[in-house]
Amino acid sequence: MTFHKCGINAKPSHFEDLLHDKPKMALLEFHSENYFHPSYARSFMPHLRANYEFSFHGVGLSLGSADGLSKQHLGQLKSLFDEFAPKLVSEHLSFSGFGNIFTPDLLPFPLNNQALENFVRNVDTFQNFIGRKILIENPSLYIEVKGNEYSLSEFMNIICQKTGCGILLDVNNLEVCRQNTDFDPYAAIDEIAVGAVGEIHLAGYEIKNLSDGKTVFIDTHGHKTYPKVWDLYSKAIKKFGDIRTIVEWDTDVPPLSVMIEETNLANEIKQKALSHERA
Amino acid sequence: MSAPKDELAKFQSAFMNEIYFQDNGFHPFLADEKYQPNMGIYINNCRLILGNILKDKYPYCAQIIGDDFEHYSSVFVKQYHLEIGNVTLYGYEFADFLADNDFGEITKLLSDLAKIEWAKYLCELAPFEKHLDFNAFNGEIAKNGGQNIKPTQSLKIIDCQTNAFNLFQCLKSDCINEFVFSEIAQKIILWQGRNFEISMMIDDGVIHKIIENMEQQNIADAIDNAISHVANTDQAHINQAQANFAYACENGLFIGV
Repeated sequence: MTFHKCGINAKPSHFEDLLHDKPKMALLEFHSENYFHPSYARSFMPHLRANYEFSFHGVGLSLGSADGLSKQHLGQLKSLFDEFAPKLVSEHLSFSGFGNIFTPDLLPFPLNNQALENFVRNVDTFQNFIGRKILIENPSLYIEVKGNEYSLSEFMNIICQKTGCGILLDVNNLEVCRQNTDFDPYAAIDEIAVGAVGEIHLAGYEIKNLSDGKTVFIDTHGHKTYPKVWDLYSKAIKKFGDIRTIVEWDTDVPPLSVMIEETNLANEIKQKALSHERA
Repeated sequence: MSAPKDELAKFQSAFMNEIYFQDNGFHPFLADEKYQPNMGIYINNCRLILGNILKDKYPYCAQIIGDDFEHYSSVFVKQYHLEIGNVTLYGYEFADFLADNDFGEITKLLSDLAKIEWAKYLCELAPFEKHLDFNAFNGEIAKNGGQNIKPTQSLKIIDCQTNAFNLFQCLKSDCINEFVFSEIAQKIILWQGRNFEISMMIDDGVIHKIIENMEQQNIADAIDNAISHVANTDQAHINQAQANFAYACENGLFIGV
């Protein structure tokens, strides 16, 4: 059975091995903001692009900001996309700043009509500026906020309908949300519209004990994918089909060989899920 | 920040204030008070991520400050917010911040070291902004008896039109044996690493030597002299000179006499 082989979110420590070994992957993903400026790492990109399709995953545009998007940031993204012609481009259903104060994190906002209107406007602005479709990723949650009028999946489905964008389904984030809040990841997958998902993310979280005795799951991307996340991945593949998949690892980044082990496991699970779907 | 009018803006403003100032203004937006402790995750993420970014950009300052670095980086983060959605240039005020804090007799030296480390960081970005005519350089080098540069090999350039040239003459180092140097007619010094990878090499020995010399006040004086030497030129030239200086320190790049 042929299908899209799982890719990785590549880090500079992997670049030489990727160029040398050329492992088969459907995509290499990069955090867009890390390649805005010329650098040693960036000098590898044209060579990698010769061998792989790219996906650029944004972490800093703050697509949910109530005060609009930075034109400079949009311009830097567009330059990157124009230069490397990525297969996929994505950002998050979150905000990272307001006014001139930002945090290097992905913050939630209430899923209500005002936020919907704002987010749709920003996605329209982004897509019009770069002249292409984007995917938006479901964020990890450590809190629940007041005023939600939609479920996560309803909210994302409506954004897709109104803007023509797609969904980057992060199944690790679904699990993190389940552990930290009253969230049902299986129901969320059930509710997402077939055809909307254009990419899936896999990663590992960290379990941390707080001083008050509670446990929180933190989306560190610093661990192998956990079994509960593989279960969600299998369910997602059974529903959405052969979706391009990326393994993320952002802290304590392991060598390429470990990343490849994770992609091999993802490929096995995907193949099994696709066989099940077709049976 | 002026108070926003609409609800989404109020929410987002309160969230950012909670992260940086912990003013408890965000708590009314939580669906349940059981989530209050979890706000610490967002607060810590900001502090730790930006703190680690500082540590990455100022590893030798962090080494000298030691266990207290986390405290000082937290204070820095509160004082200097991330202002855009990109951390590449975050932390450039760290030298001034260190100068404003009391580290006893090494305060000024620590601040100078931070300047060097920032310039070194910028130099890791800067060389790739240069577009080189390799063939022309090869011809020039060959004429002067130097080695040829292959386009696939890493190449770093110091433009001696800046006063970095004078800086190099202030600083003599014996940490240069691993490198090949050429000097050509246009006052361009070329350094050719042995392979592609070497351009990211950070020469710990050289930095340690700088720190040692700083303790003896020699290098700090050299830096001051050099900066004052270029003080009558514009800021871009000063920045370039400082950057080139740090770049040379990092790589053990000093001209022969």
